[in-house]
Amino acid sequence: MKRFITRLGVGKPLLATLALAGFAPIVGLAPAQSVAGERGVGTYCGISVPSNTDCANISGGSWSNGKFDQNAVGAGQSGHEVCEHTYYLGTGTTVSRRCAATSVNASTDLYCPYIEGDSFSGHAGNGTGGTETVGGVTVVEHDSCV
Amino acid sequence: MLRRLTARRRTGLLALAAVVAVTGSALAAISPIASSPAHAPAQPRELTRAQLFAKLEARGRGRTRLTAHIADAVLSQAAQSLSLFARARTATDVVPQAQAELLPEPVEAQQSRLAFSVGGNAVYLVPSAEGVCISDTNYSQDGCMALSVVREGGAAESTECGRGLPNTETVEVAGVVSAQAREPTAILSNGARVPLTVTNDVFLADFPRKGPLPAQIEVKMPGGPHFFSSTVPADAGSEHCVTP
Repeated sequence: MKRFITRLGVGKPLLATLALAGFAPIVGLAPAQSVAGERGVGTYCGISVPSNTDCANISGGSWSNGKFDQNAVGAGQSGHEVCEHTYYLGTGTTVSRRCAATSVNASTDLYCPYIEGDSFSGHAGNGTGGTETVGGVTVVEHDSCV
Repeated sequence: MLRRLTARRRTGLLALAAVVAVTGSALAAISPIASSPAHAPAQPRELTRAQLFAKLEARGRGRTRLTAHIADAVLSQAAQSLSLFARARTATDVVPQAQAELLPEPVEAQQSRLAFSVGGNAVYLVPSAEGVCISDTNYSQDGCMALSVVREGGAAESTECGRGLPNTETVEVAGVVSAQAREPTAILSNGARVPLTVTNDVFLADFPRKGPLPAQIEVKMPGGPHFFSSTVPADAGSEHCVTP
């Protein structure tokens, strides 16, 4: 049986300075949370985030590094704007970036690179509309490149 | 092997607990609405950190049904402000299971509706515990919006980098507008106005990344103009996508 490892954790602050679109980066702050699991659910952020800001860029914020094919992000308050932003780990280039007015997922964007063995850095950000609780979940759910 | 099975069982129990937590909290949120006057707007609610994670964890494979009570309440609410849910469901309204499983929160896939098909892309609305989600066969849209916000005029979602987009130089904006909304218009970053085509309460529009991108959407409501965010981040124009 094929075994998948999902390792989520605090990576180098390399990507901490990469803002979600238009989100002002705060350089020098390190994420404080890590989660590890085997092909399971990994949660990150889950704190109040200022508007137009990546959760990775605030004190106590976090992101999720590892192998996964979903990055679902939601707002604590229904109707509040949030974004998911998923980078290739290492290069820092964007593989998926989506926003919505309550919750959003990376959809199939990560399927093929995940199957090919790529690792990602999953980020969650607050959009417009004031400070809001933002949370993200990264997980492996599909084993195919369709 | 034992370790893996144990991990799976633990994951399963966590998922079950999450579903119970989410449906329970959703029920608590919906119950007062269901007993209120027919056109009373659904009120936004603030989730705790634990509730938010539970909702996100409860999504995914094999979890595309809400409880019957919640589903009925959601459908009733949706039908009040979205014409698509006011009509009977037909065979063409069935959202593919693989799509519904990708939505970012638990949904009632059994009550999906086909909004429109264009260029081989079928765009569906799927009710969630608090609103509606957009799902399309191109996988270019995969977000959920609160019904309380849609009722005010509309809500949007956007894809800046995604596999389902026509190419990496396209930014796509989609949204749901109230059945009362008229003349939906995208207001671009340079102030230009672009009329949006709405079919069955839903719009989907592509914009060139290097051009002015939508900042807001305006609709004419009975009480006057209403504006809502396009959700497109301000720096989307300079984004470099390497989505395969």
